[in-house]
Amino acid sequence: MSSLIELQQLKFSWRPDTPVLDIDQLQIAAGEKLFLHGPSGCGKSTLLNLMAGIHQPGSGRIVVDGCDLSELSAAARDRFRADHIGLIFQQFNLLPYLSVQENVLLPCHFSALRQERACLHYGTAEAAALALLASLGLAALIDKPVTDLSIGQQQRVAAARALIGNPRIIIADEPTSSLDSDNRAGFIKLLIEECDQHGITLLFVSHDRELTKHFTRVVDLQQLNRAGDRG
Amino acid sequence: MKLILNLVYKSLLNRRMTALMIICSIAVSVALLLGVEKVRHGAKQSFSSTIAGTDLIVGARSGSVQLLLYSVFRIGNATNNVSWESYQDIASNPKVAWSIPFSLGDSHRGYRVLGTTGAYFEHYRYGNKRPLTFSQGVPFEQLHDVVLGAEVAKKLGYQLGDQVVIAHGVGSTSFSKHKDQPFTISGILAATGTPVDRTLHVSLQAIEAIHVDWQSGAYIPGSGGTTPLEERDLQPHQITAFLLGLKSKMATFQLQRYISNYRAEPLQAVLPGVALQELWGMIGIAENALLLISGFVVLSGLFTMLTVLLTGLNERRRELAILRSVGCRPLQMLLLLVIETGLLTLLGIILGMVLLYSGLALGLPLLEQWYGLQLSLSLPQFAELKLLLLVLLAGTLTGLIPGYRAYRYSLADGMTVRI
Ligand SMILES: Nc1ncnc2c1ncn2[C@@H]1O[C@H](COP(=O)(O)OP(=O)(O)O)[C@@H](O)[C@H]1O
Ligand SMILES: [Mg+2]
Repeated sequence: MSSLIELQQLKFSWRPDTPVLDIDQLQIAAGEKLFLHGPSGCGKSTLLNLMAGIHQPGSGRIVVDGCDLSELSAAARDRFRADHIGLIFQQFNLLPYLSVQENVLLPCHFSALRQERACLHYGTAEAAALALLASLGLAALIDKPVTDLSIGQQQRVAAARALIGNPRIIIADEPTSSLDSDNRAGFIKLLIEECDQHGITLLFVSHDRELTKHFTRVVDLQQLNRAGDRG
Repeated sequence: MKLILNLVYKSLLNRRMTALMIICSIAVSVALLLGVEKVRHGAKQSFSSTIAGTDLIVGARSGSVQLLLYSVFRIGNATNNVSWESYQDIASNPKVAWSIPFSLGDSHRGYRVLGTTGAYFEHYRYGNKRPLTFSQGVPFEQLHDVVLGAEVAKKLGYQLGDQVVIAHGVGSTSFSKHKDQPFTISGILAATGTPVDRTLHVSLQAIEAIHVDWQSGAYIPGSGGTTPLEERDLQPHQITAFLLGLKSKMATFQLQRYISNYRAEPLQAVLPGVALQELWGMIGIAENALLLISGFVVLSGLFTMLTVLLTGLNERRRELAILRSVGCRPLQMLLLLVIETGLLTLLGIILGMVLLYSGLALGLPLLEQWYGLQLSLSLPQFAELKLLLLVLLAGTLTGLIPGYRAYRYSLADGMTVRI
């Protein structure tokens, strides 16, 4: 079975002589919902950055969707990310000076492919945004300034933005850590539903082990990462 | 591109107080720069249009700037005079269309008195070949008639028909006055913005008449004899300088050479334009200093912008990381910042122009009244546009610095901002 994401002999360090990541192998199949956990500072965010093509590994290979990221130019990696990856952060995901809808539509402006795919399903990107927001329970907020939203609502808008135009992968870096537990479960359910519906692979980072039950696979980065052993 | 413009616009709107501050600081510096440039241009313009239409200024041999100063600007004194015979001879040269004799040396309360003829009111030109016009009255007709320049009449509060006593010599405190022969104001000239405004004009014969009883600089009543003035021959023996208008400009250099080589006495003839330029070159240093200063003001405006943007950038790292995560490329981010500074500079320039022109519209009458400086509300000249373009370019390029920082941040921060 061919995997969507494949890491091989991946090494990365911010400073010479202090490796942050040393991963022999990791394969993630298309459609998987992967839960990645590990103590703070063990390199989870760094790993996500590498898989999103934002940083380059010191050595080793990262193949995403058949594409070796290290062989791409910086510009090509930027385009690849815009086309195929949706990102959600811990908090402050939204540009405060744009409306909810404008925030959701951002990826369509930077990626023709996602614009095209959003239009394919819904006619226009705006309709796609509306549909996504509606299924995330945010239809009433579409024209609100994002500063009027609660944190839970903001994270759902960020999810809608990551989902629009059907990227192959969604990378979520502790998106629930600033939510209360009710909101947390609701958020994850909605996110996984949407990913399932559109065949999107989800990489999800969190400390909260209680959430593992929603996922198809759980990975402990500390076990995977040999760099941590020495440090 | 449209998206980036939209983002710049909305982001700036979100930071409108800071943006407004930057725009104002640029506007003030631009207004100052253009203002100085306008004053500079206007000063040069009104300076070089002090005299027009005259082909040659002739006087005793000295320096061309000195001749210009005492004949046209009425500053300083001639070292030597020109004899009446030489004047008559040259003025009757067939190439000469008209001539205006000048006899200087007396004053009235600090203003110079010029002895001349009716040709002065007919042929003297200033500015864009504008003739002298009377705001009131007529040229001198009687021996003791005087025509005042606009400023003399205004500052000293004279009316037509008032009596004026002329002092011997040119100091404002000159005590030796031609008290025995008061003059009556026959006319007042309209303002010209030139030294004409600060001059009292009388006939050459009047100058002779008031000096009848003067012997080598001292007033000795009765020493000139007892013949009544009306019966005397008041033909002047010498004058200070004279202006020539030629029938054809082609003859200018030929006549100039002829006068320079004049055998009866050492004379010189200068072209007003050339002498004006020479004089301007001497006082033009102040002009460059002004321009330099306003250049620094613009520079400090740009530094303000740079400081404010760089300070704000740290707070915007989050914003940049978000943009990067949705597919904005680092180069687009650079563009974003450069467009931002370009836009701020452009708005600053526009506001600066509005400031300047509304300021000028209000201040022009005052400038003209107080300093005789005539500025026009004309649209920016090519040179000024070039300056503005330079400011715009510098402002836009200023964006490269925060732009480069943003570029670095976006590469280093990735999705996780570390402050
Ligand atoms: N931009 C960076 N520059 C230098 N060191 C970094 C940077 N980002 C993370 N690190 C370091 O890398 C290690 C892993 O960080 P991170 O991937 O953020 O951990 P996690 O997300 O698991 O908490 C930490 O020791 C952190 O200090
Ligand atoms: Mg992290």
